[in-house]
Amino acid sequence: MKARPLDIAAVGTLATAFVAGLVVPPDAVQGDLQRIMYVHVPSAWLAYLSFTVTLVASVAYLRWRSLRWDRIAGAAAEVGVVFTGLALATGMIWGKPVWGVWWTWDARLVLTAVMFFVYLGYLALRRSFDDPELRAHRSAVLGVVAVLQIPIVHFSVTWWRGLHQPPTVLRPDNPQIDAPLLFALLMSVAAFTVVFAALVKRRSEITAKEDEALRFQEAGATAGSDITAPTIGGGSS
Amino acid sequence: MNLRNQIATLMRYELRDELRGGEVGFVVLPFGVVALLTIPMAIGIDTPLLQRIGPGIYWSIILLFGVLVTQRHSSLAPPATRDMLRLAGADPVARFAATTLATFLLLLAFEVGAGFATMALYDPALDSWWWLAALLPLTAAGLSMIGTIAGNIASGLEARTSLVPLIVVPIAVPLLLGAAQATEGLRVGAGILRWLLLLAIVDTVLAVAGVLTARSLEESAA
Amino acid sequence: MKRYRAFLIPAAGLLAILVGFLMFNIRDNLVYYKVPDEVVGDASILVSDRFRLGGQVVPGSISSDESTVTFSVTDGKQTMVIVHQGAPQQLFQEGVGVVVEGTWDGDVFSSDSMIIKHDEQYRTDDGGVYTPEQRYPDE
Repeated sequence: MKARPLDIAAVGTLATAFVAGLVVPPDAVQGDLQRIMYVHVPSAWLAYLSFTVTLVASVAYLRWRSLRWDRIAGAAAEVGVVFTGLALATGMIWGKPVWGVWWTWDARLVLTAVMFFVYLGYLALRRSFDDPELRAHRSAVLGVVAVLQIPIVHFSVTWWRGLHQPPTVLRPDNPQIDAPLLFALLMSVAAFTVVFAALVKRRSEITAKEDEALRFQEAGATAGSDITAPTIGGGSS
Repeated sequence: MNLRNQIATLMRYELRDELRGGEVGFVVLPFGVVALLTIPMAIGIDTPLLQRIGPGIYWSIILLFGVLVTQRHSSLAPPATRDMLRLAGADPVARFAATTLATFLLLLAFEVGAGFATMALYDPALDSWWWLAALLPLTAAGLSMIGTIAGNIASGLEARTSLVPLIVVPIAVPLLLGAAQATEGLRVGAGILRWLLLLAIVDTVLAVAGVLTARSLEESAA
Repeated sequence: MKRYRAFLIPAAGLLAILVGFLMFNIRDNLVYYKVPDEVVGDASILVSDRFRLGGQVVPGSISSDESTVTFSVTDGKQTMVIVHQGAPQQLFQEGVGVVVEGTWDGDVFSSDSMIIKHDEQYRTDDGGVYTPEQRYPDE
């Protein structure tokens, strides 16, 4: 497999973020535990990003009917489910020592878990189709309907009043985080985003090849059935 | 035929089919009641605890088994019927509306039936029970629309019986939360208007989504 | 979509009204945990009612024996005594926010479940003083 600029950029930024995450000083209260944030926060960001990409690509497919959009939607959902799972797992590993429990019924945790299962349902649907056009069409409809429900899910679970800290960085007046820590965090968010782009690109190329192979297979079967084996001696019927 | 007549005719057809087959009344409802029966067996007979958790269990049973109501046999037109309706010029939106309305009525009946079973088995304390007259239809409407959309998305697939619940249940989380929190609000005497509004918003969003996607799903029928 | 405009436009209008109503008119209580000020003196809370209580651990109030930890939490107005069954968590210390779950008999809150309410700030050792009490309660 040929290495391409996007792949090289993904590896490069990831390596930089990895070093930055290890070099910056630990948090005063949480100590080294807090370093898990450099994986957790970007994973959660990618979970939301992939959902948005899936929504946009689904709408674009329904509008222009190009399978390229469908492949992007599917690839984004596939990458998204991995990072949603990673965000949940790292959150639990962090939550056990800090909150004292693996899981708590906090709004953002529940929302992430629901998102995870919406992704799984979407991917299970995609896997059930043989015909790429049919798959594209049906999953685009689900992509739009499901993602539109996410804000509603968000509000309904938020009204439980959560324990999760409010967003740390997205706050214009007074960033609640020290400069080196912030740098490492932003670095890892950037790295994860580039990795996301590289993975989605690769994955949708693979899907394109798969679809092509399928078409070729079907076409081959039809073409082959027209050619009958030569019969020797005139044949019987 | 105009849209309204189409909807009425198709809905009558589905309800008649259900009346003959009795899938909801004789299969799904008993199954739901059995589920209500198994939970006290699993967690032990702690009467105050059961009184407290009864409504919540009721709503999760409604969500999980309501999916079966939305996917009942008569809501899934077989390919031949589909083709026939399409050739006859039946509007896809009329078909969506008819299936949703039929499912809505059946879900409502299922909710009432399971509700009596919950009353009998768990004895929950409900003061302002008349609010349920708003709560039950709002929940049934949302669930019937999600179920119909998901059923159309997965129609013609072999894996549909396991696929549809996985698609429906996560999306239906706001319905469960709204219904359960409103019931909890009734129990403790808190305000429930917020949750009723949430349910109404979910229903409206789904109605718009159903109408907008009906034609698109019809186009891609397998 | 022209055919369904008669439905879609009213539906969109209804949606806007519902959302607007929800956003601006509802101030229900949606309590995930209560604070001591809501609990102390509230006669309607029965001994059998299980609920969650949140507050900040009062400095100097922590004492523990083999199986329980006793401490006080405050919301700045009222203070309640908590008897927690089981070992406290790693980050449990004076001044942190905690959410405990259990019952209240009018004098003592008996808890069997504790969650540390994590503070919002992250600081390096030389990056400033860490004083949660300045920001609690943050709601």
